[in-house]
Amino acid sequence: MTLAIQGLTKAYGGLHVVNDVRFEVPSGALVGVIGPNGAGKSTLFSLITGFLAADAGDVSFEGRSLGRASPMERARAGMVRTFQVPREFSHLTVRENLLAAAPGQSGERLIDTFFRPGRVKAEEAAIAREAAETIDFLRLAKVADVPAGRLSGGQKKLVELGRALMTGARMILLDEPFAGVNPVLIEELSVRIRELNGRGIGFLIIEHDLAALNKLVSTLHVMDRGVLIASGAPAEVLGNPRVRDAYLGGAAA
Amino acid sequence: MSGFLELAISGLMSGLVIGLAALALTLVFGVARFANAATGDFMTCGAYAALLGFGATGSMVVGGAVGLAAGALVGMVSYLLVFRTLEGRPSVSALLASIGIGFVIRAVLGVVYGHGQQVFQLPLVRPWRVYDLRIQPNDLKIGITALVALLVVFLVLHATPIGRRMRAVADDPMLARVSGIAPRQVMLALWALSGAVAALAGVLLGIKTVVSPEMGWEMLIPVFAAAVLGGIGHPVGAILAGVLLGVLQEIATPYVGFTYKLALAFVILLAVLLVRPKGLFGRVEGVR
Repeated sequence: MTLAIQGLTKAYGGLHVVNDVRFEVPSGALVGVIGPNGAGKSTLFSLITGFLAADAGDVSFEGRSLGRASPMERARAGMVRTFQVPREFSHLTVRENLLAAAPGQSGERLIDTFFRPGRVKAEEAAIAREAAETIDFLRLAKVADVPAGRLSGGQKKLVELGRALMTGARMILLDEPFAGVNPVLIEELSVRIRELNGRGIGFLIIEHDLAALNKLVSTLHVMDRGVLIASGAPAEVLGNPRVRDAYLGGAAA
Repeated sequence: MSGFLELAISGLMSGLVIGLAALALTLVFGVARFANAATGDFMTCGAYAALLGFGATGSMVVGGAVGLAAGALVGMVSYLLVFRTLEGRPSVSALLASIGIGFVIRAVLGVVYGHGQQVFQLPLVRPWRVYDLRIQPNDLKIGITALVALLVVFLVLHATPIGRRMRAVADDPMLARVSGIAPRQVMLALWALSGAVAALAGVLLGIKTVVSPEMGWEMLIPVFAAAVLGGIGHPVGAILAGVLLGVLQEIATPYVGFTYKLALAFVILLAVLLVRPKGLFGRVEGVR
């Protein structure tokens, strides 16, 4: 019952941006992927979430191969992503942003809206409760009924997390969640992520900011020039000379 | 003065019809990002279907319901057969396809019903006199029906799960997909809603004037003008602009003559596009 990255490979004109990357994220784990700029992290993320088609390799989640699945199918399978530059339904309120992501409603169909209003209403009440709890959990109550487009970048990251939660995701993939977020909110985000992880939700976090990540995750994978160069507990990985080399090389470039 | 007011009232009625059709246009535009030039012909479909229903039962309510259902059906079929396959292509493809769909609808209706005019054989009712103002009871019913329809559309968009999803897809289709929102269901609902709204505009127009295969097509310019004036993709703006346009057209008639009142829509369309392309109520378009 894991997310398995099985030999993902992507090349552009003979240059391997991601080369035979393989690792697993056990269900309920908190795993990070780091690497200097140009290491292939973002490409790997796009391959896992289906935004790019892999040249070789597969992604499987809970035993199901998703290598050919569309981003939507992957989301519906329980594996939901967020975006580095947060995206939101900008004209919808924060609450509506969360409600829109709740799956499997009869209200998906216009005909039920008119001819089975009772059922639609009952389901709506259930997801409204869930959305209210999620909003409280993320400390977004003050802005719950504000159009999401008016929120700060950090708040939008929280909304993204909330949207992912509302889909019922069992694995949340975060694309540089700490980029452009102030230190106070980084701490806040980290606390929420840890709490959610405590409830059994798995996280795969791709991040450039080492400091924020190594306190958070239990396992760290390091990428450089398209390949995994180290994997393990954060302290051990960060002591690895190859990792230091890669980071210094990356910073100097 | 009372003549002027009567023109204004008549303008209000035709304005509501224009507004409804502009709403149908703008609904599709907001989500599918192209101007559906078959909107007028969806209206015509609704009017003919309502004639059938009315003829079979003698009830205008049944006729209207049949018209709405036909409009919803035509909208959904157009999406499933044509617009679905054009998703992801430049929007001009969809625009051209919609012009084609309009031609097909007009041709089919022309072949089946001929190009003559038909009317809803509604009983003549004596107009009410309020002071020295004459008010047609039918006008009032048309106005109320249009307002109720607007309220229903507004409620669907803002108070139901499917409406929320429509607005979500309109905001960011890609984000909607990765949130697990199936675009197919949302688009079907959208086309059904837009088709039904257009059909209702057609039915009301048919009651007020005559039913012919070209009736909706001929309304397209004022409908476009209203949608653009209201700020395209903006439902409330479409209605208000439609009403404004209808009233302006009627009031201008004594001055510019019947033939040229349509030209007013052109002038407004041009002026808005040149001076304020966002329209009166437009927001900065959320296209990413």
